[in-house]
Amino acid sequence: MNINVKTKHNSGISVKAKKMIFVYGFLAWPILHFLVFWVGMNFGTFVDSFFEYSLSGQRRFVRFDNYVTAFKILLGLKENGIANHYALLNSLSLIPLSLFINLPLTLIFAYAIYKKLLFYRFYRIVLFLPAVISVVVLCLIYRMALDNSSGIIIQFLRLIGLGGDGSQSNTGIVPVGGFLGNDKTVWGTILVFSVWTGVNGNLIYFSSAMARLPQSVFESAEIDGATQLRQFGSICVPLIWPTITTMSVTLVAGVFGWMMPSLLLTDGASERATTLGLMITVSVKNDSTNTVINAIGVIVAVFGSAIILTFRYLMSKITEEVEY
Amino acid sequence: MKKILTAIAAGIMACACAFSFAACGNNNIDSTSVDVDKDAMKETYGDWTGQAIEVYVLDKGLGTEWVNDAVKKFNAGTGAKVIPKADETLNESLATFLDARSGADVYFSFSAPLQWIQWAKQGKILSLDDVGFEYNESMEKIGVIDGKRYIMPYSFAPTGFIYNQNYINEIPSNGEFVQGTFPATWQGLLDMCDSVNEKWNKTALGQKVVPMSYGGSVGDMKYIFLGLWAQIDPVGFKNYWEQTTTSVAGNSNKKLLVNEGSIKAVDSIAKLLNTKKNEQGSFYPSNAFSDSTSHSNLIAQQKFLNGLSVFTISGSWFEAEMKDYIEDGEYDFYHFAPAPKVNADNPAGIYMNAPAEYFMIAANGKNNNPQLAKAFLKYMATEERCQVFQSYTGTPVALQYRMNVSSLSGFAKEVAESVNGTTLAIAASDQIASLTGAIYLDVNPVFKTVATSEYSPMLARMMVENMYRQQVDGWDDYMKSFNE
Amino acid sequence: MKIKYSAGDKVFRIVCFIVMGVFALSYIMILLYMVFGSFRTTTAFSQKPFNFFDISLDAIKRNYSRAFTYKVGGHTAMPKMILNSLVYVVGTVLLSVSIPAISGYIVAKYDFKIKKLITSIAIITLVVPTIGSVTMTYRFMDSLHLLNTFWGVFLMGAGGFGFSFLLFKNFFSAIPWEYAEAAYIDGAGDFKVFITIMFPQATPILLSLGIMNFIGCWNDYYTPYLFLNDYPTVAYGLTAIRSKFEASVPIVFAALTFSTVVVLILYVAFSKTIMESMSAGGLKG
Repeated sequence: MNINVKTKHNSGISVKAKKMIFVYGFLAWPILHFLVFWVGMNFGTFVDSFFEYSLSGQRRFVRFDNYVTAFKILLGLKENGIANHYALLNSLSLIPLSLFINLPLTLIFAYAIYKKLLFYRFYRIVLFLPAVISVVVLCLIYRMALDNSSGIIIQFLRLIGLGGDGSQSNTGIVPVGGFLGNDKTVWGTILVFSVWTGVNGNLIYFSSAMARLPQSVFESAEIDGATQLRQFGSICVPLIWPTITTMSVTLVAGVFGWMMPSLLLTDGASERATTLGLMITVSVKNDSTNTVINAIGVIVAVFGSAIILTFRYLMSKITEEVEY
Repeated sequence: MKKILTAIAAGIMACACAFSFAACGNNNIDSTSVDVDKDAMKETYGDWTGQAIEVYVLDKGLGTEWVNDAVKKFNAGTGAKVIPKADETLNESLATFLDARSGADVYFSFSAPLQWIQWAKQGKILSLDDVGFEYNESMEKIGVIDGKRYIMPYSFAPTGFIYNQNYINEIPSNGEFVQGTFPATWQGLLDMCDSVNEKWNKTALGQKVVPMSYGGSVGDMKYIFLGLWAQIDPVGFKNYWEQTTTSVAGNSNKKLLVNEGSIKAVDSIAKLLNTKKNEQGSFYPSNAFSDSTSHSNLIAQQKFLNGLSVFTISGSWFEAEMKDYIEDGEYDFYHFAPAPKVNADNPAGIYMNAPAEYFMIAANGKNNNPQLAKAFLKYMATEERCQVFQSYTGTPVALQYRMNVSSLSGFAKEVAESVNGTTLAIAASDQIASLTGAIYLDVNPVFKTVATSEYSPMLARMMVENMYRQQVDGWDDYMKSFNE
Repeated sequence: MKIKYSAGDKVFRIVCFIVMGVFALSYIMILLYMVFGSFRTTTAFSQKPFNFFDISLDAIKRNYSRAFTYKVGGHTAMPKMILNSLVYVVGTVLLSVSIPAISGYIVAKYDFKIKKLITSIAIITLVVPTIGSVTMTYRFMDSLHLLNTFWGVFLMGAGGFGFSFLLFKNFFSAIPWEYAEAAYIDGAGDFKVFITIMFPQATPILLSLGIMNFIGCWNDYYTPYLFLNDYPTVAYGLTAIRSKFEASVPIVFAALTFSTVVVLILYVAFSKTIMESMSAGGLKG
């Protein structure tokens, strides 16, 4: 790809040198930004995790104390408000949810649209809406729809007889405290929200990947009598496997920072609905010198990367990439 | 089509932008028509002509009229340009503002326990020793660390019950409850609740009226618990909240918390919540709403005003906080009462939510004028300002001053009268760094559990012991942050 | 030619239709609930939840004026929040389509020593979860006195390696050098070639990235929550409005409706463009 074009000679500076000036000159800022904001910040977090700050800002070396506390919190031996083992459990529970519910649903929807299901144009536009409408708006609407007195979902449940009779002693399937207020149901309610809004962000990527597939393969399969379902499993999925891999790796990576719905649906105050991301983000506001959080961040980065890379490796092992 | 839609979007934005330029122009309070003695004020506070500072106020129920009024008069009198700002979530952003040295010069807010101490030690807020004001004995130590005062506690809010007189007039008498009068004894309160549930059967807005609404998600019950404890055992209450200890472990320390007084207080509240099993087998507070544990104080207060409950748990801030709502609906049936007595021979006691909001001066304030900031606080400490604050917000001020009862609304008068001559309980040692005993006792989860568990005589003791255990667990962490 | 579906396929298609229908309808209904809810009075809304069309002009005026005049942060009512959002969005979008474009172009088109390293860096930034470093970033920005400023936010967003970088890299790899050769012969420098020839080629990607970033920033809550408290944006302001008007849902709905309408209009206008460009610059593996 290196071009060897004859140009007019300039005074002294060779073509190659000029190119390198261009290359490194314009890469200088991105590299600097990366070094400061990615390497610097992460390294700083790592270093800081071995220290502790007193109220007046003095730093003290504490070796692995923070990591011991961090592991205690993550494994349930110690609790501190929203920093508890549910953070880890909840975050991890998002992985199977994204991979086995959100992703397949999105895939199937994209395929149905690709195969021109009835009203597919309408579906393509409407199903993409949650990606466009702010998660803030969606969370707030969901939260108000579940409000015990004026929430439309609760009113609807009452209408169809599942929500009790409006009296305090009979609330049907609505738990005491409401779906979002009851410790046992709060995380499940948030997971429902996650499926409801998460199905369709990646619709567009799958759709465009499918759009680039050669029609010929499908046509010959049709002629051979393969059903659309069969075509999906044996042709479509293997052919767009790289896209599926990329999307699922992104989903798994996103799990570790996931926190918006927890924050917005419960004001970050529910100890059962906490996640790793929530724990870390809220602590920035409350006490930015809390170095145990740094230790947790390092643990998340290390184990999270391991999980993501392993997952990526497994995905690529499953099918070999097919060229077309 | 695309062009039309883009034009519409642009149009909406343009209108909104025009709106914003028009709206953000009017921040200056008009000081021309204010009646003040300029010479006297300039002599007392200084001549600050042309100098500006910003005062950033937490507007979580107190409103902003009191600060706007103060700013107007101060500006007119001293020539200063004090600019007031207000935000409902200031307490959440305060750390960022002090870190970034960007928000304002003077702040009026509360913060998380230990936060203001951290700011003081890190030099982010200034010492207020040279401002000059007087606190009564109970508040003297609050806000002082290493011998210097860093915050100026201001709102001194009594907590209690807000009840609907119209309903009280209708509920049939029962046991110690007499129709027409809010009960003065705890048993009377319980009897009234029973009467509401079993004898009265009133509906409003299509729902059965319940005895109580309270903010279960924000820990309204904490106020009542502390008030009852102070009432039942004033000495024991004081011993716990003013202990100066470096460790909470050990039996003698345990007894300071786990004792008859605190247990009886929790038990009284458990009886008030009166949990029953619903048809699905779960327990809910039958004297309140089944979803009370997820209600905020705003929701609870609104339900009360809508007539869905007979009383609600709140404090002196109730009227100011619900002002918009009250004006729209023209409600006039609400009254204030301190918590009823658990034992007939208990002294009257009110738990004061103090320090609620307090003033502090940023070390690197936006306009870098700490002297003007201090002059402003000196003005806020005057009797006149305290009286005006109380007349606008209904909440007394923590400083020493005489209340001007005639300037108060009916509700605020009731609050003021209940405070005079009553033992005022303050449980503020988590704000007093020199008294370390009761730091960060986490009361709120207790009542969430009590409201959703089956009542038993042992429940209260179990809950208090849990509280103690939690405190012991968290103790080392808190103590570490105090040590260099 | 009419496609004949086997029985299995028919079931598959019907099930898909129903499930997708449920999702689609739920989105539409919840949006209508929000819009029509903002047209009702508070009492009507809580007492008669199913009278969706019980709207009144008075209620509309009241709800929207309350939503627009409520001041989050004292000095910032909705109009100013819109301004803040616009500043944040425009700045971030400009940075996010320009800097990665040039770094993607360079890595795609030139050979140099650290080329492979840079590509790996870009992938690493996507793979390693670095949520834990946000505390450090916060303190770092504080030490630079850039906390709570737009400059600070722009600085943080001015990175050159990330998802956009990969998009641009893939895109530019596919463009043949022939376009540029003529310019090189005429003596144009590398930068001139990039600006006048290659960059304009990337218009589809620029457009779709620009729109996606616009929408993302308009809806972003996280950054203003941590780094822009003094300049609340619309997304950040919505939560403050909800907590203030918790008990008066129609007012909250009015604010939500406004925030959504802007984005929806853009989406409807540009949906085709978004979808086309996503396909064009699509990701493969």
